[in-house]
Amino acid sequence: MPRYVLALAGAITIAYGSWIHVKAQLAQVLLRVAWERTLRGEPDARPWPWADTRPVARMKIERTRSDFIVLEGANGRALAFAPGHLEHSAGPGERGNCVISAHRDTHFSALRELRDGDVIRIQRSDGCWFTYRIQSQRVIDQRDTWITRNTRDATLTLITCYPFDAIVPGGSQRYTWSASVLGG
Amino acid sequence: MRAARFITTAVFCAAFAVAVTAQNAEVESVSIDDMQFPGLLVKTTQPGRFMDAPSVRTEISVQVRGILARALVRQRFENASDHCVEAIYVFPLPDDATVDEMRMKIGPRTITGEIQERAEASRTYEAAKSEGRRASLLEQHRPNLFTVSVASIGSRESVDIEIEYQQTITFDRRFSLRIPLAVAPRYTPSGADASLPPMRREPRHPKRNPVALEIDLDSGIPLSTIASPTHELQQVPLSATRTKLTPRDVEIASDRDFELVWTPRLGAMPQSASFSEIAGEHAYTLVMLFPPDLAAKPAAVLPRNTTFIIDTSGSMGGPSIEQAKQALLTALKRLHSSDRFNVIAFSDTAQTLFGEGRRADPDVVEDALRWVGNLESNGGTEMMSALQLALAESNHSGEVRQVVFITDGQVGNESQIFQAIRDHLGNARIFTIGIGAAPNSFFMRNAARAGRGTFTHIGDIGEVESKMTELFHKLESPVLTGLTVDVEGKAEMWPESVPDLYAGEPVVIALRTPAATTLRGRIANQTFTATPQSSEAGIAKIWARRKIDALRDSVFTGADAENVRKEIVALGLAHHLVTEHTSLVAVDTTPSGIDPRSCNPELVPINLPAGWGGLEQSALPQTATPATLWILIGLTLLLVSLLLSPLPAARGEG
Repeated sequence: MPRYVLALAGAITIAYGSWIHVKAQLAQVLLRVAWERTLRGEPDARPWPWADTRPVARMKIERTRSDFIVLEGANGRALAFAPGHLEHSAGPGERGNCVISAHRDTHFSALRELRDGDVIRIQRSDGCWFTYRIQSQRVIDQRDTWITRNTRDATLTLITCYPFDAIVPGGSQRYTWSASVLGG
Repeated sequence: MRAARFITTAVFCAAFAVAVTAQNAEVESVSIDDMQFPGLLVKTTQPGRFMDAPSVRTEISVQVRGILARALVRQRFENASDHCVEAIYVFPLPDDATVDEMRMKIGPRTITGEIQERAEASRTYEAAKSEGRRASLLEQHRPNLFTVSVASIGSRESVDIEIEYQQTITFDRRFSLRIPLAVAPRYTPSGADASLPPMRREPRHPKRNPVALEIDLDSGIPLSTIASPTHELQQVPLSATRTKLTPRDVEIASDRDFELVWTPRLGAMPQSASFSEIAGEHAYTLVMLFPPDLAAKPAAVLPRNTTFIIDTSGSMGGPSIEQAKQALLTALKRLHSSDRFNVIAFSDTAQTLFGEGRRADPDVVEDALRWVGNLESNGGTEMMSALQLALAESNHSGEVRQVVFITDGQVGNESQIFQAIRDHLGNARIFTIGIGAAPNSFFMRNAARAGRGTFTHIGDIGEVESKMTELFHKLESPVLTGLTVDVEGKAEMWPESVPDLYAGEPVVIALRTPAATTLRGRIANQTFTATPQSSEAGIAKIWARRKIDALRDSVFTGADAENVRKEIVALGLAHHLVTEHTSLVAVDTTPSGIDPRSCNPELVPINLPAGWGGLEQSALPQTATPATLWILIGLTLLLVSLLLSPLPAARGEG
């Protein structure tokens, strides 16, 4: 008898773990719709009625053919669905430092594949696209918040957890890429 | 056999549990180490290696002369690590502080800072940094929030930065000097201001960035009491009107603000007072009008319609929400039955108690008390919708419309909120009540000013009763409005229109007139004369600061931002002041011999204010899901259940 209980518990746990990945993918579909509404000029297009955030950018990583809608806020609730734009940080294409972070095992598993010189394209809510070229990669501590400091030119900072293969979440290291704008 | 498999399962699960706790324990152990060393240990990119974050030791000495205070702040930047750093320190100053001096001390040498336009100062600093020179830069981010950056601090070196500022003492029944020591985290709704500096938060630690404080108070008039509601004091009388004050502890923690209050002896209070200074071809005069006799009772009580707004956002967690609720409950109990009232609570959204203001009958108040008692803090600070709801409240004729706003003011989109207040105020008055150890008093004071009301700070639950009683006395008191100032001759005055006079709070105006004329004027039937002398140094700077405040406000009412910026730059350069568009920069011309490429920028970790809990603002976002962990645990459980299924032969034997 205990083995059925164990098997059931195992199945539920696997389903729960898989749901995290499914949710991250499914949400992007809904977010794409909300992004289209944003591009048409709707000021506060929420992807679902009870959402406490809104899409602020669309982001394409050419090497991995990734295409994400980015949500405002880098809190756990937003990151479950999409990469999050750090509050207080500059907007895409703006002078200053635009900081985007996402989970290392869902959306930003793509960061692992990036190489120096790769191109990232970001669309702002007014439809303008900006091209960034990847420049430098670092591994830092989670308390090294200086990485989010404003810069004089338009830069982009991508942040995810490190190491990529860690099983247990909550580690203190972060994997970051910095990129600078090439033009609109 | 079966038992053995169960044991295997148990061991598996236990191993996972251990793996999880081990991870947590590792994170935990860093903060335990923090407590054991005077500096602060921070992990580096190499696992197992630690380095000391720079720390700042502060000494503040304040001289109070009448209503002017001049402060010298000495910050010692200590780099205990074995490599060179650039230290960046975020620190608060009073809202109306006018910063005019910065000096950098390296060993026996002193380098005096000069005022430059902000972008230029930043370029000067960056250039020096890239050459490996020692340099410091003082920038203003909000009227009450500054950063000092110090470049090229070598291993185990320290650099002293001295900053001087002045401020006017506020008077609200008693004189009060508040020295902010803690910077509270701020909530910015999506899309708002990105001009706040990044901050690195650490759990509170009394030994981090300690402050030594000394105040030399000469009030000019005999005093009846001197006290601090925030810290225990040691007093040494120097003369009849002069006292030296220090906190009982030599070093105090930078996790709560310091406040000093003093009251003049009865009858010593003039109805109006003025202080003057001659600087160049101008005379600068500060005129204070004190309210009429406080004991006078209002002739008739007008019915009021009061909306209370209470902030129940996450930043109010802990003692703050209890103070706020206590303040609100005290206020509700003081309502007259002829008054109407409503309560709005907000965090992510705003909710109102009643559809519209209800008469304060005992059973209605009883309902309100219960509703307020059940409020809990949680979520964001979407202040705007709460304000709009309050200002949209309909008004009956003959009613005095008041909005009492209880919050810690930790928002980043201040300017949008000021604008909303100006647009929708109508006949209403907004009174702000600041809660907690470090409320954003720049926001509160200006929200109250835009709302033509006043600001009250409640720092401790023990002050709720007395401060709310004072505020209510004020709300119920008659108000002198439509004041004007007449001055003989040509004068430039800030603020341009005289604010309303409330019981218990004086009106202060700053005037610039041609030098060598005696100033004669009238304000609310009080005549005043002032013969400018050069003794009161600093009035010119106060005048400039008030003009800067007025200019900054004028942007919200449609003035051209670029013109305002230019005027502020001109005032900053002329009066040697740090403003949002001018910074102080000091560069050491002696080479330091430091390789600039070996220097990392480091934010000096700062304390969370006392009473703040559970907010982790210090770290980059947490960016890993437990998906893999769950899936692995699930697979393990499945595997074990398969192993558990007994072989037919085994069943036969069993």
